[in-house]
Amino acid sequence: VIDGLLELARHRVEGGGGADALERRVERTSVAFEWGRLKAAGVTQEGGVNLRVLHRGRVGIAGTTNVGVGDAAAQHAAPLLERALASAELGEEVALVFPAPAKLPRLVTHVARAADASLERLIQIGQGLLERLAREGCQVNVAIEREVAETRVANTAGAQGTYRSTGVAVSADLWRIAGDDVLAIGDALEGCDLPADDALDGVVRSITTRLDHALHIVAPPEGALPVVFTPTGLSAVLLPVTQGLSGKAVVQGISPLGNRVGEQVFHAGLSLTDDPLASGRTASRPLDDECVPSRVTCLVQGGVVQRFVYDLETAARAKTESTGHGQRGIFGKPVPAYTNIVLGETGNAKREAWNGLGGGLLRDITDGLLVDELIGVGQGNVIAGAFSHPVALAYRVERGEITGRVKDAAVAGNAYDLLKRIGGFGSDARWAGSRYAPSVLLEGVAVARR
Amino acid sequence: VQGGAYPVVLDPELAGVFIHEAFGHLSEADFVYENPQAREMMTLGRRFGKKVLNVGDNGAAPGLRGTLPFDDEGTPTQDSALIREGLLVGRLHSRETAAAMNERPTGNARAISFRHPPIVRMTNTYIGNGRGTFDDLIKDIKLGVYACSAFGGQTLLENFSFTAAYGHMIRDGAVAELVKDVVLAGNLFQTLDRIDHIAGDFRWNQMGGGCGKAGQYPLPVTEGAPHVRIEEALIGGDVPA
Repeated sequence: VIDGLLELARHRVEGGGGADALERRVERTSVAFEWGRLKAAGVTQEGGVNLRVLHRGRVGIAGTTNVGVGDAAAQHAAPLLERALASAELGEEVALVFPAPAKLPRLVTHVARAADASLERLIQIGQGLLERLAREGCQVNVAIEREVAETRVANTAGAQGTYRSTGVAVSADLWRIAGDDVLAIGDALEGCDLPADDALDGVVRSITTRLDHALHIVAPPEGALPVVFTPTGLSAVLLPVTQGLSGKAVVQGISPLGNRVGEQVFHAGLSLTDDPLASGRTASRPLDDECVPSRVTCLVQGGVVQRFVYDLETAARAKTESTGHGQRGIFGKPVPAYTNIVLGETGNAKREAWNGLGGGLLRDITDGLLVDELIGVGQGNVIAGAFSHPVALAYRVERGEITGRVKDAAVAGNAYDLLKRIGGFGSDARWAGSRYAPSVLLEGVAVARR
Repeated sequence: VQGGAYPVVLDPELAGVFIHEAFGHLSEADFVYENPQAREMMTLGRRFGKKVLNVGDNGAAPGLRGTLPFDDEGTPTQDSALIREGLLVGRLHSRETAAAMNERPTGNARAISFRHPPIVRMTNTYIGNGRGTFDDLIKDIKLGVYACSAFGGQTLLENFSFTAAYGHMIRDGAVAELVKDVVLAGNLFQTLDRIDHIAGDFRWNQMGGGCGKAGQYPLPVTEGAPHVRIEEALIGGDVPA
């Protein structure tokens, strides 16, 4: 569909312009178990085209889900192009350069077993999880979503790429309501393939371990304390950093990291990488949504800021090159977005050993917290680094051991300051969504209680 | 602001976000209808607050963003009382949850678009008007926080967090210096029960944005409230090292 569209566009754009387009078709199968029983199952399909033109130096965007094949496609192309050109009349001026053809990395994004799995198979996976998570006095929600997609991107400079992809997400939440105490503990898996048995074992173990430690409630500590953030609990600390490393924030002049490339900003053990080539991950792809071939981007190395992520537009504004982080939907213009973020201790190979909660970091803590989930992450002026969140799920650590769950406590600090004071990395690195990280011990986190 | 427990006065905008986040989501019947423990926790007639507290959800209030003549299942909208004089008296229903609980649908089944099923959602949620003025609320507070405007909020059922856009310290019964990073953290049951004074200056918040639930975002909703005083609430923030 988009090749004919780009051919039309090539003849219409003026002033040395060009165009690029993305076509994506997605089939999504979802199964949901609520309070222990199958509640909903269904399939949705969606397909569409997003077109961008550079016309008289201005950018115009149009999108449609009204796409056919063959003659029908040609009929829909012309009005879509007209809308993009009309949008360019009022569009922003950008010195956009569409990338030339380039060799794409080879990687597996599509697993036939996942694409072909029947609805019954997905239901079976869910039922297996439900049975294994069943506990007296607890209720379990499980959701499974399988996505099969085909993506094609191309531009008028001749660059193009097509790939098929699969994604399977499995999530489970266990709820325990005792009087006025509501406890919710969840875990999720995501990958291109159906989850392996040992991965599902990991979900069950992760939920039941955290539940066992949560049954006993203890008073929260107070003061500036050592706090271990689990791979999922890290979000509040990493969000300001990833926002600050986005080329868009740098171009806007709002990133505290904007003029600090080459500086030692964080603890020397901290490295942060964006990896669109990571094997088996749903965010991996051979090229971005603007025809830029995927490559690994080192964001922070040894605590030193290395570079920011850009899409074509922010790169043009920053007078640099796209790092291949353009992401677009059917409607709207491309924006810079991360793929897979990998947090690692510089110089250490990835270690993945179950070592209890905290990945071995609790040993030397006399009095502190283990934070697994916070409430309200992402609210407020995130990029400035200051955060303050009540705990959703956190445990008190005394003399190296978890002594129970704490309630009615809040943790606060500044992410940029705290990441200078890393006390250690756990041996429990894992994927949490599209982020790979171990538990991280941060020193001197403010803990307030009622 | 320095973290800790304070008497807190919420301005009408933040009080509206508070009642939406801290109580509104819990009164959505899809949370309770299939969970016996949750039903028990939300038994009608249970005391949630002091006599001054009245809470409702009114999809029929004229001219607001959450206003609809009928919901996305065809049920006419209405003014549903949720808390009356501190007692739980109602909850928000779709046809499914109402049938399951043998109660009446309230016109709260809403879908964000044709791509999604209607689920139980709020419309225009409010704290009912009280008596007196803002000055009456702060005049006997020695040290407290006046939390204003809202960046947003999130509930994990009994626990909630909401972020004020800015705040002032209250010192010796008067509004004092400006403070930032005012995040209220709390437990629903304790916090509702600590609302001890509600002023008579009710207003609807006509702001943008919307509410998200089960992947359906942003749903247009409105909140409304007068100034509200909480005897004691946890404010997150720096604590002295």
